[in-house]
Amino acid sequence: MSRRRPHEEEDGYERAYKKRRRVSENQEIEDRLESLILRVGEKSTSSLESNLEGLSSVLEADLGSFRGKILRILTDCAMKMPEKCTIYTTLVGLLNAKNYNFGGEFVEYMVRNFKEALKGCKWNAARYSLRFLADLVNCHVISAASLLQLLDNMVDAAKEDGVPQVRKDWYVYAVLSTLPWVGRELYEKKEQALEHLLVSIEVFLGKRHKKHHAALRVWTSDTPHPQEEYLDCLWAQIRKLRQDNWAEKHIPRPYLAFDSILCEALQHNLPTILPPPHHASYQYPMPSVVFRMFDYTDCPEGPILPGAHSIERFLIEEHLHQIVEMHQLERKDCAAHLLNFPYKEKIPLDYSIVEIIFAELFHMPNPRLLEIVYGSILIELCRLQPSTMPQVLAQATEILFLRIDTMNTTCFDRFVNWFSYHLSNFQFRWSWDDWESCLQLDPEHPKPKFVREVLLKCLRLSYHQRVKDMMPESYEPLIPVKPEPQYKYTAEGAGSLPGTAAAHQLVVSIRQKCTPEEVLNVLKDLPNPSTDDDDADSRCNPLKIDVFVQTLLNLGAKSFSHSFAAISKFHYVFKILAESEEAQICILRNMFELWQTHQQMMCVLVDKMLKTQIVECSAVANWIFSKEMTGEFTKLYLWEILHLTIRKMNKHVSRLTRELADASERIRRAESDSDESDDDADGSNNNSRKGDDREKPSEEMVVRMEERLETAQADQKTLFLIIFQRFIMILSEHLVRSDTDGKDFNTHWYKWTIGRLQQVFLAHHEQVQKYSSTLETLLFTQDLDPHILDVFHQFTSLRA
Amino acid sequence: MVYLHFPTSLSEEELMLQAKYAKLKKKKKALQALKSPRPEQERAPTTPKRPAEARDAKEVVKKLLKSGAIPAIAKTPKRPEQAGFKRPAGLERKLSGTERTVSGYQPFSATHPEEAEPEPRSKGKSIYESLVSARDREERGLAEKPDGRPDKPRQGNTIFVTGHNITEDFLKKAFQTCGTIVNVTMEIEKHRGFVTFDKVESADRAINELEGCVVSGIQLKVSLARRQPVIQPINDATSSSAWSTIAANRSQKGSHKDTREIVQYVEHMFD
Repeated sequence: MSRRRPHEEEDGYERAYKKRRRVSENQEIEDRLESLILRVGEKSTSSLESNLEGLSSVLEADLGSFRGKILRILTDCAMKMPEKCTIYTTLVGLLNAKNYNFGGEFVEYMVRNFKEALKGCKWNAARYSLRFLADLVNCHVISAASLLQLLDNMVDAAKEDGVPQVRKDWYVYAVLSTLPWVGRELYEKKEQALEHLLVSIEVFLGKRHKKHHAALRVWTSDTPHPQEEYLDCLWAQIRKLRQDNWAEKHIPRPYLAFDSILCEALQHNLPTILPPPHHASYQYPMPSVVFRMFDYTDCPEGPILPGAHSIERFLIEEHLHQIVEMHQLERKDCAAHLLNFPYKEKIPLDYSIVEIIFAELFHMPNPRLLEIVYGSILIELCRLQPSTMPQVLAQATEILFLRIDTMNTTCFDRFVNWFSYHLSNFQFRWSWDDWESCLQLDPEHPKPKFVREVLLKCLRLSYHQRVKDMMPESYEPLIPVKPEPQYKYTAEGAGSLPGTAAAHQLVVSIRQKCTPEEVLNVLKDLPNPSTDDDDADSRCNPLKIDVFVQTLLNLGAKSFSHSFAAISKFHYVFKILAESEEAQICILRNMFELWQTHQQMMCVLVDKMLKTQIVECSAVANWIFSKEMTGEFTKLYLWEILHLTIRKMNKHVSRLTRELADASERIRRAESDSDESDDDADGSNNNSRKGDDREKPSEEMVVRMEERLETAQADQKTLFLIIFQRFIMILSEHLVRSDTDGKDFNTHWYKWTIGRLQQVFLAHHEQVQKYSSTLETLLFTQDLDPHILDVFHQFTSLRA
Repeated sequence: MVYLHFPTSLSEEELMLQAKYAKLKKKKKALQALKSPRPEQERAPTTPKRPAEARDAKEVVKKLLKSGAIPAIAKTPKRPEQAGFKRPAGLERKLSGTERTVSGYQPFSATHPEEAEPEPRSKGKSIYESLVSARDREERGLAEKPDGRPDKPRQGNTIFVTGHNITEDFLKKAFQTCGTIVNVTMEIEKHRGFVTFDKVESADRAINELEGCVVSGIQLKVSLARRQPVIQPINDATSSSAWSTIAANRSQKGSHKDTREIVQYVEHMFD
């Protein structure tokens, strides 16, 4: 028996193998076709034209058996490799010239993709397919008239009433950004219609609201480079392009070489495409501001940086942004591809790259990727191009520092974070001497503030002695003090403090590994200094909290982990002592008293206490705005704490929302399953069990979840209300006081504070948006000072 | 049996030839040594011929790599379009290029040598090959880029110094008379360091003046560093030279020595 089995298996193998071979043969051909299509246009030993010609013949021969596959690959390439758009349109043009039917099918396929992208709110994919369709006009695949009809329909979408402006913006943006490709052709063939299209766009742009512009600017000043709104900038570039008779120098156009073949081909008409009507669930891209930090005078001799309103600048920037997006997960690939930019001979590439990376880093309201991504790409670029890139980056840093006075607060933070990170990767070397003049300025001025915050961040990335050593002596006033706990119960004069005896007793007990109950016992007899009222005593005893928090945190001072261990071991004591918000604020105040020189410690401790629910988010917010923290109010770390608090709350709400949606979905599915299983026996029952391991949640559970979500949402709303109310209070107070004192209100403090208000709006815009109307009726009312109200209106116009 | 008799002493001509041969051999050796990149002189004797462990071998290779004695095996960077969309696994194999040279019967290969290929396919293949080969070259180019500096006449602003127990401060002090020091990179445990000046002349001066000298009781060996980052200032941003040098040396960590006391984590009061 055992001897026969292998033989049987062999037989089976033989049969299976035959089958597989047939499959694999086709597979091989398909794979090869795919790789050929993917690779055409890359560096090759023969010319692009001959490759395209060869490839089109290969594809034509295979159209019979691999039509679907080829269609799919080509459209995929069109959407996913927009930088090779003109290469693929040429290929499609050549195929269309050989096989008119295939051309038609392709257009149909592409149109379907375009429509789907529009419906699915895949705005970039939609834009790329529109561009591809437009470029097919250049290749005689699509008629110019039918494309113009499509563009007209899209501009018409911008004339609709009762839809958000961001929707109109996108449609106009999509049309404008297509024109560099097809403008010339339309101009030659349909000048009148093109003019008409542009007039409609101009009218639209003239009527457009741009309240959001101020909130999205990196700098408040327009010198030396204007901070233009993205549509305005593109419009200016297109106008300039029109002036130049639609001649641009950036886009490679391989189809020109095949003009004689292509002009013979028959053209297809695009079907009528109407933009899908607006739906409340559609999310459109937010407006932005075009970031510019260099012009041609900043670059050394050599190729000239295209001007701000030349279409080449737009095309280069778009291409570079797209490379970053494509390789965002691999910093090394990303840097290599950026440096390998196809037109690197024609532009000062290093400058363009540095500019677009900072553009992404400073993008408002949030950068597309994590901040650290940009920092790591910049380091990689320096490594690959050590002869120039570090110099360009140093120059960029100088420029940013020079213009820091008018930089918005959010970007200031990102600049601090990037620069300290970069320094930590470059041996903390910088010629600080050149910035010495900042030492003469008001310490609240952005320049000395920047240096101080950078040093504080460097402290987190290295250690105190090193930071001290790296700085020239003159910087002494800006160098942070050594981060150490300041434990008052062992300091000089501690004897006179009311809690000293208990504190010493507590140290001994904790060292002897006492239980939380024993801690409470030690604290038991401490009197409540604030009031004699018994009621208040039970809810908040500041002295007990003082002794306990400072002593415990001091004992755990050695490391974050020690502190965390201390908190979790005596979590019970915290909960007993800090039921009320007042008591929670008291905990935070004592943490601050002990750790005020160690910002990172405070950040992680607050984070920990939020996570372990020792303090609530609202308590943290109230603490930040409390009188005791006035001196810290313009420091970066305090806002780091506020934002981490808000984020914690937001995450909590989203988690509950998700869980609830999940549970309702499961109930729904379970119900429909049980319906089916009534019809056919156990077969489907089996299936449903496989798909869903967890039990079907009961109605009661869902109701409970709903309740929890509602509570969380209420908390979230309260948190935002507290924060905004406190902002309004201190800002109004400041404005009124300046007014009565006859002083200029626009002080450094004011700028920092209004910047922080703006930051809360923008950094959490998705969450704050939900409470927009509440905020409008409760807080941001018409009688408010216009300076404060303005920030709110800028925010609401982001998605208007 | 014929008995061949060899005279014990060589003839005059033979002696001359022998001397000439030895001379030529010497010259050839010198020429070879000149042509091939040399490993660090002082490292050579310490390198064990036969490393005892695999780990040691790795270290040796690393050292050799670092010294430039052997070229690194170029890593093929990930194909750019992989980030785009997925390709079937079969294709990956094909793309590696080595597959073309396999001999013997390949049951799963679609193209058997005896099967005549249809016309258009072979045409496709030629495009394919032209693309592939160019691409491979491109990739190699990308990988080589950081090392691809042309062999220029040895000149530069970075010098290589060895001396017993030298430190960064020592080097700064010893060489500050020669010119402005932009950067010092140390390999403390190997008793050597690199000093970069702002000018080439300063580096020359340092070599001329201090090679073989004894400074503060330390015998110094000073030579031009083999790897010379060529940095021409392109703008007047300060600090850029320091960043450039560090980037070029690819030793961002530098020679920093942490002098902090070690924190002892011994108490377990929160367990």
